[in-house]
Amino acid sequence: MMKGFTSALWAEFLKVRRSRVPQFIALGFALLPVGVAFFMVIMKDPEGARQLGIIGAKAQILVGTVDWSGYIEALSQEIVVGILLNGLMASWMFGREYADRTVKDLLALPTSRSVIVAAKYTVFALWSLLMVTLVLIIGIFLGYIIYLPGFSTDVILRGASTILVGGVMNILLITPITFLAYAGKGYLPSMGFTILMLALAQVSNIIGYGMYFPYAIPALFSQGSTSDPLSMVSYLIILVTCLGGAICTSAWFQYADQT
Amino acid sequence: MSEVIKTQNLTKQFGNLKAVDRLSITLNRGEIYGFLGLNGAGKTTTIRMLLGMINPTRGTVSIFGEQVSSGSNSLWSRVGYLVERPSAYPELTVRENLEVTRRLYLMHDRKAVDKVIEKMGLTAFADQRAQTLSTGNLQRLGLAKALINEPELLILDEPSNGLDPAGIVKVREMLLSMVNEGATIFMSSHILSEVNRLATRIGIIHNGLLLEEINAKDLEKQSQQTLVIQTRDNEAAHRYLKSTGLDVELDGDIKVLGQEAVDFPDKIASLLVNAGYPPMSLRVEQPDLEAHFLQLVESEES
Repeated sequence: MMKGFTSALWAEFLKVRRSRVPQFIALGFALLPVGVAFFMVIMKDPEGARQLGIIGAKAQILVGTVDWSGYIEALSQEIVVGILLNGLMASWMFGREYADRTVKDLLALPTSRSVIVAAKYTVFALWSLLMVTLVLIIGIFLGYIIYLPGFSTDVILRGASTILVGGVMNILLITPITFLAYAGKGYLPSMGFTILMLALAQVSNIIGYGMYFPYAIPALFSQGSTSDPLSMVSYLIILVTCLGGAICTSAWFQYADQT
Repeated sequence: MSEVIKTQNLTKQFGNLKAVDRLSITLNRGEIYGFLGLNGAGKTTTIRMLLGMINPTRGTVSIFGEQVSSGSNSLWSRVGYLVERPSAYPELTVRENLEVTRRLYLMHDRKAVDKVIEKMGLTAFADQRAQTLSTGNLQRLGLAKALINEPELLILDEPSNGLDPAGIVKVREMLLSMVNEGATIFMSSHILSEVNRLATRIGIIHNGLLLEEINAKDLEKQSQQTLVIQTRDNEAAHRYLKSTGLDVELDGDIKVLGQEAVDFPDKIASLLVNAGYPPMSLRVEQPDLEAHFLQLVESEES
């Protein structure tokens, strides 16, 4: 069934490696800890923060305490931005075949269509995990550079595991986006969907139902790094969303008319 | 001869539009089937159904005796195809694009890429990114993808699109040599002269319906030769020739039908000279595929 998987994997890796799009998105990920560290630097100097006005006020909202614990917590809240960047990456990976009209070269091959979809998901997941690692490494490095107080291995490990689990949730939530990239035959519908989901996540959080809205759950998870507020239902919602999206993506690519 | 492609009542309906209507064709090994039609006639929809990219509303497609579906993966190692305009990953080089195709075809022959690059005259562009290729070279790359697995069946949509005259000749020679080695080709084209030169059988599709299927040899036989004459007063000359009992038509020029006029144009010329209508030009014309195609489509429209 997975005949040709390594070939498809090789092809997907090559496409990701050669294109500038993943590089730009990686730059976006790399800038996340830079932004958080920047706010930390401002917060270390409240006088300076007040003088900075709006930036200082925003930093106050984002960051709790000016130490490693607050820094890692702020970093983990960037998971929300991670959904957006992941959404862009997945929209490109799946939608590009339609935008570049290369999809027809993937449809009548000895390598099955489901294998091609599986290879895309694998490369996306590995790339996304790499981005989580990148954020962690740059984050820890910058935290060290700006001399934050309260360093402990325990704080780092707890923060890293929150970011990692949040990152995995983001990966799982990508499948409805990939479905729209295929069904919408390009990047735009799936990118629009990603932005809409983020907006709805905010709304669902405000009205207090965030734990039941899949795209709000990773952010809630990251906020609860000290006391987990999520029930099993929330995790189940993420799994069902992932499976539903993956099945729709695969079935659409396999059975829908590719005109 | 063994059947390579067989469609039975193949129909595709998009809403109220019948893109392909009850198409039944059979293509045998070693044939070159030219599939002709105007834009929107249903050629590409047919090709996509042959390749399992579109599900027929009704009817079936079989290739090498196996019914085609979206999961007919084992079948495609024996088939090469080019659908519509060629496309390639713009950020990859020609070689990398072909390497992707080679791997997805599960081919073990690592030299296949170099071989097809040389065959298609792409050596000078092998390490050039696809986004920088000219239309003609992009078409060559598309054809290279179709040929990389040395297919037994080639399904080509407008294979000569964008090629320069030398490229057209090269592709034609290559396709003919493939057929000589036992391959079968199904090709759609707008370039009727190309189909005329290559195809052993021609299918004409219009508004989704197969209007006619004809062997190239029969087309030649059917196409009646005429003697075309121009004089300074065509109307008077036409009246005169008609009065002599010849089968004559006036269509701007004077057209004399019948084998005798074609075989002995000098006799007609003498008649006209003696009657005071000396011919300014005199030529034998054989209606080509284009004329046949247009006549068929026009009669269908009317």
